[in-house]
Amino acid sequence: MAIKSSTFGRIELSGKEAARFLVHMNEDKANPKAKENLEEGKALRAKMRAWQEKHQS
Amino acid sequence: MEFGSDYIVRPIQSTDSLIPFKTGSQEFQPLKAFLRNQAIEFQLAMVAQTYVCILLEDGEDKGKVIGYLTLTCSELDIKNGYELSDCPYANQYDSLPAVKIARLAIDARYRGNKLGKMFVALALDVTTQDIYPTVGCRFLITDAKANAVAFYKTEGFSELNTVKNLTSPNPVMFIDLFKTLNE
Repeated sequence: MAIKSSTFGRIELSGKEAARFLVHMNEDKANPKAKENLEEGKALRAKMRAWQEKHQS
Repeated sequence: MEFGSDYIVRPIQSTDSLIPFKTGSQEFQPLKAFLRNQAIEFQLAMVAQTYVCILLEDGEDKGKVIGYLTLTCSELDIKNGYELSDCPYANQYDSLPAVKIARLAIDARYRGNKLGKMFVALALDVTTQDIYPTVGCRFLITDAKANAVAFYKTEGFSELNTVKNLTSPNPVMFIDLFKTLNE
């Protein structure tokens, strides 16, 4: 099988799938939406920490 | 909906109200069943961490769950795919560390509020700020359900671009954290 995966486990790629993944890894550009979500994630975690500190004390 | 006035996000707690969570259709029943029956167990067993979106009631956290995200450690094993003659990238890594979005669901009554996007942002921050700096992590990955592929693409995931994967009922999707942080 070329793709084996389980919900709470690893993903195994072989053959064409593994070779294609290596090309993705080496040649794809950063996804602008992922970069945007990364920044939103930082802001969200800051809010989560602030809420926790406020409501634990 | 706004964080702090309408909802908050935190790790799941055994006292949370999980029974009222509605997924809205039969195809999402496994997501409801996991939240009700396994999310706490997986957390206590240190197998996965579930973050819940809590609807604030009178400004207070009373444990009403309206969405959740479950993350677990994973890896991408690619060593069986190397064919040295035609793979210029061979001999680098047999496997690559990853964090997997194992579950992500929003209560049907609260969809359309960008809570799914919020959970992807949270997963990205956990992987890049906590996991990668301490033990290494190259990818955020998921086995998307067919009806969730468009959502994950919109939020920055790429599909492994092979016919077998694109026609799979649960295609492998990923975000390369190295590219996301460094380009």
